[in-house]
Amino acid sequence: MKKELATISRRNLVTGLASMGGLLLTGCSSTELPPTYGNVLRMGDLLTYRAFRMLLPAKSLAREYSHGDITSSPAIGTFNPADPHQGLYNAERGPLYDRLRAAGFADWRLRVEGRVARPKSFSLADLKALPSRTQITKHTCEEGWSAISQWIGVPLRNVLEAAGILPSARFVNFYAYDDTAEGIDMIDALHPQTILAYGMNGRDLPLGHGAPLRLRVETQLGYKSVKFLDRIVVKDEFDDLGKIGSLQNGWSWYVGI
Amino acid sequence: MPPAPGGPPYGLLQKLTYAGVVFVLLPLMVLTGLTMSPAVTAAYPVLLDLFGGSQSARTIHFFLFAGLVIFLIVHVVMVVLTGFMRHMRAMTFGD
Repeated sequence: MKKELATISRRNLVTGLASMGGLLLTGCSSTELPPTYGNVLRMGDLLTYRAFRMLLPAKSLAREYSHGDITSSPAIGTFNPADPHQGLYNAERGPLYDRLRAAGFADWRLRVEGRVARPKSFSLADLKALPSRTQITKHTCEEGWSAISQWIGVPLRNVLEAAGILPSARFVNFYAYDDTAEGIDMIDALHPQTILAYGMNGRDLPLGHGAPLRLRVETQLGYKSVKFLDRIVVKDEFDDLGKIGSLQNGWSWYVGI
Repeated sequence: MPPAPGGPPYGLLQKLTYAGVVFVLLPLMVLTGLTMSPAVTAAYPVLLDLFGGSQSARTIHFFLFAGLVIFLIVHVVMVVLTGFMRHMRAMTFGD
């Protein structure tokens, strides 16, 4: 429990320090967003992204491990979206999550919308009926630690294709039951190891790890793998996802790193 | 390596140190850094085998960093002690 709280306060600390830097630099009134120094910092993010996409093959698989390599894995960030004391608690979706969880997620639905031919809602049973993928991979956190777990889920590609990706679509954004949202490009979205995981280490996905469904993006750092998924939105254009997205909180958008 | 302009030639320890920094420390710094990237190790998993995984690459990366900092301090102190302005002029104008 201590670890999770430490993480939240660290995120606030980083955001706060970055904002203070902005104040010192411009000398003007406070802004809630961290500075980008005339978008220089975001240009760096974009440069990294373009360089990785130019230099690296798109479909290389991240290393997969064996059962004996599985380690314990801390649940960090939000570990229960229904708990109002969590840093990223959402007053509207938190209580809804509580009701869904109490009913064993029977009424939970994953909405897939945006630039798709047939916007759809998937129940857990619908997702489990699609072809699954099981992978034992390493979760690398930007804080420095890593953990190896087995993930069972449906490749995101299958879900997106069931909804029909429009040819102009380039980005896929993920919204959670807490105030978290992340986006990835279509290359990572269609990557064979990018899955919507409903199982971890042979069991249903535990609460702290994002029950009932979380994203796994094995080619980027851990914070891209959004927990507690609510809906998926396919987009033609890049969207920084506003105040709940990583960019406006001072985090890089592309973290293949 | 040519002698320092207007001063004594570089000693054996200096030559070894500079060669070590340029040909060992800096390349290893880059490679261990890349080994911490999940996208790079997916494309080049040989990096994981080379350094014994991303976490040991991270440890090696840290000690290389410490080594480079120590080198930097000693290097700058020696530059200052052996004629700061003369070295700056030599670096900028070649002599």
